[in-house]
Amino acid sequence: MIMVATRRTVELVLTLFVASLVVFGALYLVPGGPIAYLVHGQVTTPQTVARITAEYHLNEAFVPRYWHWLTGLFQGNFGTSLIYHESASALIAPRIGITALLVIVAALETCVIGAVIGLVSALRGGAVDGLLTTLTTIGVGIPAFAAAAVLIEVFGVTLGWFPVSGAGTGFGGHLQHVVLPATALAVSSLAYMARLTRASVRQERQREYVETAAAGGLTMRQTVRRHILRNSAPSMLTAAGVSFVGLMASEVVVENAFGVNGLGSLLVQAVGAKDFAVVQILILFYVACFMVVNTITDLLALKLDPRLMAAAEGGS
Amino acid sequence: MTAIDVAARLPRRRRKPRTWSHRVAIGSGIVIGLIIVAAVFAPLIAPDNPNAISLGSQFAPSSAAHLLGTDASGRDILSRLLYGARPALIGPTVAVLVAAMLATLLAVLCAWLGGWFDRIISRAIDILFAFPGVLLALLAAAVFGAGFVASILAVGIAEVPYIARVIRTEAMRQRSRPYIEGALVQGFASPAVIVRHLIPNLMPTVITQIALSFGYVIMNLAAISYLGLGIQPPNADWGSMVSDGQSSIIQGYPEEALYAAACIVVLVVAFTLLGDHVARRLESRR
Repeated sequence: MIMVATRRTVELVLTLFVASLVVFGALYLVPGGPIAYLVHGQVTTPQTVARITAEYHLNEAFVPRYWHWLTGLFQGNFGTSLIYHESASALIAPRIGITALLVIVAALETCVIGAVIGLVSALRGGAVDGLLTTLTTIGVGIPAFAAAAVLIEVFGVTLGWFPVSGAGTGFGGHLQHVVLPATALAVSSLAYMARLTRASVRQERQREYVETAAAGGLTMRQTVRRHILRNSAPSMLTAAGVSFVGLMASEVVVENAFGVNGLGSLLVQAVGAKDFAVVQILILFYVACFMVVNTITDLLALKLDPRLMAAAEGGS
Repeated sequence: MTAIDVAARLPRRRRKPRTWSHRVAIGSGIVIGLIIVAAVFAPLIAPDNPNAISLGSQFAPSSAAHLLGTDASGRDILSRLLYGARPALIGPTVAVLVAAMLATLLAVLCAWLGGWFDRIISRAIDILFAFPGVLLALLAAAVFGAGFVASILAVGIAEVPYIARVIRTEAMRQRSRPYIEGALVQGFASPAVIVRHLIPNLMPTVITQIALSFGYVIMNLAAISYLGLGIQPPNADWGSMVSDGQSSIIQGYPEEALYAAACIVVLVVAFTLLGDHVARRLESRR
């Protein structure tokens, strides 16, 4: 276990390192070179050029420059926004909470509702299964912003149950403001989760041990709880991990749909304004988040299934 | 990809479901066909110029002149939806083709060269997995500026690892089969064997992956144009129509956003159902 965990962690760090190289290197792909890009809009006096050159260490070679940036990140120096003239960390800190809350609520909805729909669908069968499968097939194809439009119209405008923009005040206010965005965000991934749960549970149901358990006198309920669920857990967990990646990517879109002033809105504003320091750190942050979550779900799945663990410890 | 593994391992049910799946696939094909017709013949079908602003008739309700009403600038919504089918089809098609070609190239080289080349590319693919399409497209928009082409390329490249991983496994399998060895022993050069024998045998896998990727690519591109970083105004696009229409929802005119959102969902679901069917058919043929 420890060996596998260590190896996955080392892989994670290496992958993050390369991802940071990609995000940093992107600035040098800009047509016209980094200085022209970073100066954009401002009057090109020698002073501004000199200031930007010094700030981004542009007179150094690529490797030391990258090293400056990377070590800076570890010291909490995320660079300075060209637009707000504030440090990127000062921009991120007040926004991170609402984004985290949004993602957590959406992830909870995905896991709980998705798993329940999948289970009901697989165990009930018949018309219920047919209806739920049709709904989840459509659900997987609903992008978060399309769901947002429908939710705003139905629950925001027509019924007036929930606020449709902003972030509210206090934890209760935040939570109330987060319900609709989180639901819009969760629609597609909970449908995905439901489909994978259904497939996995149906597959387990046809195993011989289910018959054996029934022959041994266990009720279906007991068999489901003690055997089928336990065997399906690793694939459900993997499905949750995959859903989370989709969630993080759509989160950026949903914040914009509901005017939630979190990291996603900041990222899109920064992209629009070509505020590169902010873009770099935010993209790296998002990438790091779901790489960490992926590694954790991988390890948990191994922990849940000794057979997978044996394979991971033995091979590759 | 996990979904497919799981689905493939389910016992195959025989008669009825197959015809049902077939019918669903035909239905999806018809829907896609209609959308293609709308896109191709938009100038002939559209009742109005999609970009003609008419400030006198903002938010006009559905009428004979404007079947689906007008938007905040008085533009005919139906016409904009018809024209919007163009980027909705062209963008994902180009992105998926770019992804499939890059992925096939990498996969074939990995299978053929093996060794350190394979290890480096496999590693790079793992890293690319960490960049979802939307984030890669945001990075591309920050570097190259907002635009249709940059967003298509970014979303296409983000799709490469998903396709390449499957094709690489298949290419490895084909590489070790006797027909390749036979062709090489006969004295054909490697490139000839790759182009004439290996790649044709990979095509079912490539087509399956293209079919499965389409839905995701449509959603990613629509999200990018929703954020205003894809196709630029005044060109009609479903993603940007949802975004334009969203502010009107609160004013009580939800039509534009809801119709455009419905179009995207219908297109994605149609491609997903058709893709699943194609994947299952090609899978079961092997």
